[in-house]
Amino acid sequence: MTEPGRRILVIGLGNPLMADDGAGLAALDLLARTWQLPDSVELLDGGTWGMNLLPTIEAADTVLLLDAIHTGGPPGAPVELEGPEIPAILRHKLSPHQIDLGEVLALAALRGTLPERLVAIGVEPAELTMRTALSAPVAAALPGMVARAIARLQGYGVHAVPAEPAACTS
Amino acid sequence: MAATKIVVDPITRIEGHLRIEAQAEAGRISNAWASSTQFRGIEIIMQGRDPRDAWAFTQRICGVCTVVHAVASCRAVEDALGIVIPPNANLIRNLVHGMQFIQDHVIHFYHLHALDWVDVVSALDADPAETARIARSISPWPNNSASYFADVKERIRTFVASGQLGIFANGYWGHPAYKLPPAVNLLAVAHYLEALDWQRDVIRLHTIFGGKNPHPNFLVGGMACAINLEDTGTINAESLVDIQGMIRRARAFVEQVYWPDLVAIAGYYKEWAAIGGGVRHFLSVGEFPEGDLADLDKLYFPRGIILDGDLSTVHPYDQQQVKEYITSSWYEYEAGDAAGLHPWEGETKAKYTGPPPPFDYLQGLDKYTWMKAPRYEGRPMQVGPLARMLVSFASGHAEVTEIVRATLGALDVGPAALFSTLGRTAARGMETVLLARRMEAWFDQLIARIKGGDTATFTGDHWDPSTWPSTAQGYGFLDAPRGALGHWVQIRDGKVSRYQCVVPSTWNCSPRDGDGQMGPYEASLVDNHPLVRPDQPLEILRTIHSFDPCMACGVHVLDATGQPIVEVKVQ
Repeated sequence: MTEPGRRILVIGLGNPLMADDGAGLAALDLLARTWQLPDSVELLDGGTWGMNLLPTIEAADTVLLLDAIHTGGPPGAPVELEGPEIPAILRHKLSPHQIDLGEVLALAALRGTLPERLVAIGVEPAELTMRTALSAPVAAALPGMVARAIARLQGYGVHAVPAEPAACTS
Repeated sequence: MAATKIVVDPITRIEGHLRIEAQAEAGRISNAWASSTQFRGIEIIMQGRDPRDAWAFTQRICGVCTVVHAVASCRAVEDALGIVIPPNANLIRNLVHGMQFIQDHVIHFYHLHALDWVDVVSALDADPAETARIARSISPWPNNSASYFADVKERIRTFVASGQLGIFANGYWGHPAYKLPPAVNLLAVAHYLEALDWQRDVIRLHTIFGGKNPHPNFLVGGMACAINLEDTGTINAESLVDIQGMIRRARAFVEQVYWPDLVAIAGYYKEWAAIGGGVRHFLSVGEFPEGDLADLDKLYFPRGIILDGDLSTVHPYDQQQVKEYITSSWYEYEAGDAAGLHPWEGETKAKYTGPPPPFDYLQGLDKYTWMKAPRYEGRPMQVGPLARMLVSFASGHAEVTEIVRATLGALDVGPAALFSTLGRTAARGMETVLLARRMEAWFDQLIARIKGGDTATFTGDHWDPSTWPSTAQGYGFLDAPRGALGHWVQIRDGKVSRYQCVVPSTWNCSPRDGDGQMGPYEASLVDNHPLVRPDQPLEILRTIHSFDPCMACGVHVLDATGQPIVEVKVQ
C-alpha cells in the first residue's frame, strides 16, 4: 500500500517532432495503455514545458521522469539516474527556450521544494533530428523502460496490474 | 595580430536555433554574424487552410511568446474580410496581450538576463542585514527583513554544499565584468525565486479569458469567451474579481520588485549605456488599440519610425515599404538573390548551401542563416521595447516621457544613453511599469461596459465563407513583447493562398543585406563592444539578451553529462 495522501507523478518528457527526443512520451503512452494504476499515481505528458513543470514537480512526493538521456552510451541502452545524479544546473543560456529540466530542478532545490524521491528512467537516444518516428534501437527499448518504471512503482508499494487488452471493435 | 574567432551556439550535439559568431581583437569585438540554424517554414504549412483556423497554427510558431501570433493572425484575417470586432473583445485581447508582456518581460529579466549581471555565487558573501537595508531603501515590498534574506542565503549555501558541485560550474561566476556588491546579488537572487510564484499566479488570466496557457484560444471576429455574470460556465462576477486581483498583484510586483531591482542594478553598470547601440533606425508598428483598430491615433504605444537616432522627428510607417531580402539567407527567389519582396509577394523556398553539420564556422560564407533580412525602405530596423519607448517619447507620449526622464535622471545619464545595451534593458522595464498600470484602465473599461449591459465578445459578420469575396488580402500588425510583428495573408476561394510572417526576431536577428548592412544583433556587437575573456563571452550574452532573443523551439533532451548549454568555441 502506498501511504495515504502521498502523490506519485510519472512525467514523460520530450519533443515528439525530434525523433528520439520523444522517447519519454512514447514510453508514457505505452505505460498508460498496458498498465492499470491507482489514483495516487498521476501520469503527465510534460512535453517541453520547461518552467511550467516547476509547480507540478514541487507538489509531488515522488517523481519518475521518462526521458531520452544522453550519457554517451550505445543507442537504446537503458539509463537510470537517481536524486543528485540528475543534473540540476543553473547556467547561462541564449534564449528562454533553453529553460530545461536541469534549471527547473535547480530552482526547486534552491526553493527547498524538491520531491523526496526523484528518479529518471531513460534510454540513450540515437537520433535527434526533425522526424516523428523513433529510431529502431530506441523503439525496441520502450518495453524495457516501462518495465523498469513499473518495477520502481511496485517498489514504492503501488499496486499495478496489467491492463486488459482492448477489445477489437473494427 | 589575427582576430580571435568566437562561436556561441546553444546546444552542441543538437541542431541549434540562434548562433552568434564573432571576431575579437585586443579585448574588442571587431566583427559579428547572427545566424538562425533552424528552418521555420510555417508559411508553407498555412497554404490551403481555412483562414479562420490560421491563428491556431501560427500561434504554435513559439511556446514562449504565445498569444502574439494568434492575435496578429486574427487581425490579418479580420483586415482581409472587413471584420470589426466588438469593443469588449478588443479590451480582452489587450488584457491578455498586456499580461503576456508583463509576465514575459519579468521572466526575461530574472530568468535569462539577470545572470548576465548578477553573480549568484557572490551572494554567499552577502550580509543579509545589508541586503535588507538596501531593499528597504528602494522599495516598500514586504519581504525585506534580514532574516528573510538570511534564509535565502542559507538555501543557496545548502544547495552549493549538497554535493552537486557541478551546479554552478558552468556559469561565468567570478568573471571580472560582474560589478554588483554581494548584498545586491543576494537581493536579486531572492527576487528571482519570488518571481516564480508571482508569474504562475498572474498568468492565470490567460486561462480565464483564453481557456488555457500556453496557447490560449482566440477567435476571428472577437474572443471565444462568453460573459454572463451569473453563469458558472462563462466569464462571471467571480472570475472578474479573480482577474482584478491578478492585475493588482502584477502591478505591485512590477513597481515594487522588478523596476527597483532593474534601476539599482543598472546603477552599477552605467558603462553599458555607451556599449552595443548598433542600428539607429527604430520601428514600432504600435500596439494596444484603445478604440477601433483602424483608428491608429488610439494606439496606447504609437506607431512610427525613428531614423538615425533623431528623436526630433517621427516618420510615418507604411507596411507596403517592408521588403525581405535573402542575399545572406538559405533561400532562393524566382527573381534572383538581389530581389526584395513585399510579404504579399513573399516566397519561402528553402535552398541550403551551408556546410553539412556539424560545422566549425559560418562566418565568411555568403549565406549563413535561415533568417531573411527584412528592410524598411532599404534600412535595417531595431524593434522591441526600446523602439516603442523612443517612438512614444518622440511622439510626446506623456507617461513615456515622464518615466524616460525620471530614469535618465536616476541614473544620471543623458538621452544618448538610450541607444545602448543598457537602454534596451531599461526600456523593457519602463514599458512593463506603464502596462502594469494601464491594465487597470482596460479592466475598468471592460467592467463599465458589462455594467452598461454590453456583454458581446464576438461578431459573426463575415464568419460565413459565402459572404467572402473570391480573393482578399489582409495585414495584421501587432507590437509584441520582442517588437514589431506582421502577418500578411492572402485568401482565394475561401482558403489561405499565401501567408507570410515577419516576426520581431527576423528584424533584430536579420543578416547582412545586399548592401552589406548588418542586422541589429550584428551591428550592436561591433558598436564599442568589449570582450574580456573570449572563452567566457559574458559581454556578448549581455547585448544579445538585451534584445530578448526568441527563436523557434529547440529540443529538450536531458543531458546527464552536464555539458554547457551554451557552447563556446574559441580559435
